[in-house]
Amino acid sequence: MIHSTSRRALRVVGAATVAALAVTLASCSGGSSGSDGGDIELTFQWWGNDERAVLTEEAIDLFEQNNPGITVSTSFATIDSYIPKLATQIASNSAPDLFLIPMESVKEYAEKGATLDLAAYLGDEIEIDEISEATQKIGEVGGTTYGFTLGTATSAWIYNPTVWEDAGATEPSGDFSWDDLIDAGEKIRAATDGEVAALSDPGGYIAWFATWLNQQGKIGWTEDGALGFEASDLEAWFELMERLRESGATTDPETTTTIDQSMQNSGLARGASAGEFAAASLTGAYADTLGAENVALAPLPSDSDVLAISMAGTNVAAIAANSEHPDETATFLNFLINDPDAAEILGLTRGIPINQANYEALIPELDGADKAVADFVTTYQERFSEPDPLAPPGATTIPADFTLAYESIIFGQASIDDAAASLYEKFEATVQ
Amino acid sequence: MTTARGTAAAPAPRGGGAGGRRAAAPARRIGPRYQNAAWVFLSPWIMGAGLLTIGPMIASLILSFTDYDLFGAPTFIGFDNYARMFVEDERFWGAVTVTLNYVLVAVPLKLALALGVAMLLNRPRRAQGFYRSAFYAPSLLGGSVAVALVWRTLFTRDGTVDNTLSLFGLDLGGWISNPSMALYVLVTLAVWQFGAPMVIFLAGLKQVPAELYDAASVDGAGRWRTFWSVTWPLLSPVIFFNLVLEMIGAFQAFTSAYVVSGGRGGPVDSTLFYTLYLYDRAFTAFEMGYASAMAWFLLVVIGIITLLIFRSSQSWVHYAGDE
Repeated sequence: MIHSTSRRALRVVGAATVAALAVTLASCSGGSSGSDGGDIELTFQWWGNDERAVLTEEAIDLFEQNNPGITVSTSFATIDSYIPKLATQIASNSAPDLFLIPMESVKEYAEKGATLDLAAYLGDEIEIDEISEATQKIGEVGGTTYGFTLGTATSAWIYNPTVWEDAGATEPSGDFSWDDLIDAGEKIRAATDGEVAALSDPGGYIAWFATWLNQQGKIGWTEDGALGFEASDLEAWFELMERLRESGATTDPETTTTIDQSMQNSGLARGASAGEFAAASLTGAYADTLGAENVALAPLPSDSDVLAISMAGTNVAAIAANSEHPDETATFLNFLINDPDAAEILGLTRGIPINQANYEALIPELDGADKAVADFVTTYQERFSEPDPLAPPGATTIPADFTLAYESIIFGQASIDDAAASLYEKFEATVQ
Repeated sequence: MTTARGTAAAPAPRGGGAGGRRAAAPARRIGPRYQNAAWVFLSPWIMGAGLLTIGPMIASLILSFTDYDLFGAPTFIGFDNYARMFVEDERFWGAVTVTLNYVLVAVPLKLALALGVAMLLNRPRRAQGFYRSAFYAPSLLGGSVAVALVWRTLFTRDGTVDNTLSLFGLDLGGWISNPSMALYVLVTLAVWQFGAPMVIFLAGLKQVPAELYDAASVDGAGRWRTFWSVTWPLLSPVIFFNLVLEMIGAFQAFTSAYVVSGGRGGPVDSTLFYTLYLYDRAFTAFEMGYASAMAWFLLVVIGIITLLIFRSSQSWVHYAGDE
């Protein structure tokens, strides 16, 4: 009897322990939403903000209505925490059915076999008639399609036209040289008691260096993954940036270091500068802070006819290679990129829709910042160039190294020559 | 549990302290059956510690000898990660310097402040409870991202601190954007959260017998003399405890630097804490092997320093009872 009592106790305790652990483990996988009923459940993971979440959920509701039996649960995070999260999921083979990959990691994940080859679905579950070839290429690695971007965007010089007007400076346009920027910078400083720079210092960002490099007819990494520039190009860029900084056209080092790509730390949004190079898709966010009338777009300055801006992907939506429901996921992906109603709900939240017909249907309805972006694209489309090839795997830390090298220059801790030389070594290490 | 044991023991003792004492006495007779029960009750902890702490630790030790990018299989590379850490990686040594600076400045300041405030709050006065809670409050908020964000806003250019100091003619600019001052913003944040050691000091101060102070004042000892001859030696075990705890905590500081510097450890790596660089290697560069090696080096260093503090304690920590 005693024996049986303790055995039973043992069993009860054991069961309780297992239950407790199960609950704990189950709660670890929380943070997703929107699953009820349905035979098939898809998971979709993306990065972004609350506004994007509302629109995404709205589109998903429509998809679930149209496809009874399929439910989609989503989860999202801000980009900073999204990157390590996705990496961990992929490494542990627990990636969601559909997920967005940041552009710089597309090649890496595709080559590691984390994403599904979509060849079987193209023209079938996934329609591609209304998607330009250049756009299709965004999700291709080595000639194989692994995904589609959910929107394209271009980089732009977003500026506050009111400040430029008040200072009597020539506003940026497609015909604006780097020296024009120095002139404008002096006028803006003069009109604002020296408080406002014409431009948030772009020197520490590899994206803007790459744009400038394209303007010189050079390229960061070629299609084969070789470097397309010399250490002297880095020096020339840093020298140009020094000239701008010393003239007062760009922000001073102490301001520059507090600026990052988030809106709350933006130099333009805080009024430390009258312009900033940024992704055009951020125009709406700037407009929310500054008012739509204080936001305008222009191409980056250029000393040649080449503006070196292009319609690039903002992300690549890919299907997990080990997804249990690849067919349904492909249908869902098709819905996100091609469904006219979905396009109307989502608007420009992830950039310009890649389905040309959907985008054209959307144009008359745009207003405010979205309209400014569309106008900008329409105006300069002719002068856009092909996007650069994707950076090779192993280049993931280059953006941070670039920023660090630039900061060491502006804070006087390294000479331009030394910083350029050691940074170039890091570039070289990516192609070995 | 008690009931089960009661049923099992031949003369069933019921209730009260007596039962407890008698149940404890025949401990040697508890058979394997009851050991099993013990294991069952311990199992959640064992599983937790094993699966979530010891297992990953062993895995990271093994990974520290590999080249592992999270996706492919790890390849064994011997001591290359360690060699690279000590010989090639300048940022690693930068991070070590920043972290040591932080530990050496923040820990003594925090403990001194905690002790000072604890001594002030130890005297009976009106609203004592309120003051204790008020001084402890920052520690409750301390590790949070929100407070680090507030700090960032306070010390940024044209932030509260900059503007206030400018009123007094001290135009220092934004502290967090100045490479030579940014670290001290994090130091002030750490020092401000002195509540936890303060509460422990308060408890320690309560243990100091009042008659020793009476004796000291009869002997004509001044404040300093009383502090060094009575308070300090009697409090030394508590100081020692706080020192070890805070030192380990400071070496592992992460959140404040991550938030204040926007995850970069900038400007120019001036707030690149060891843990921040470790995180950067692991989750930005995906160099898990290298990050594991860094983690183990940190563990060893903290271990050695803790050991040194323990050794040194023989000469300055006074335990009641030993002469």
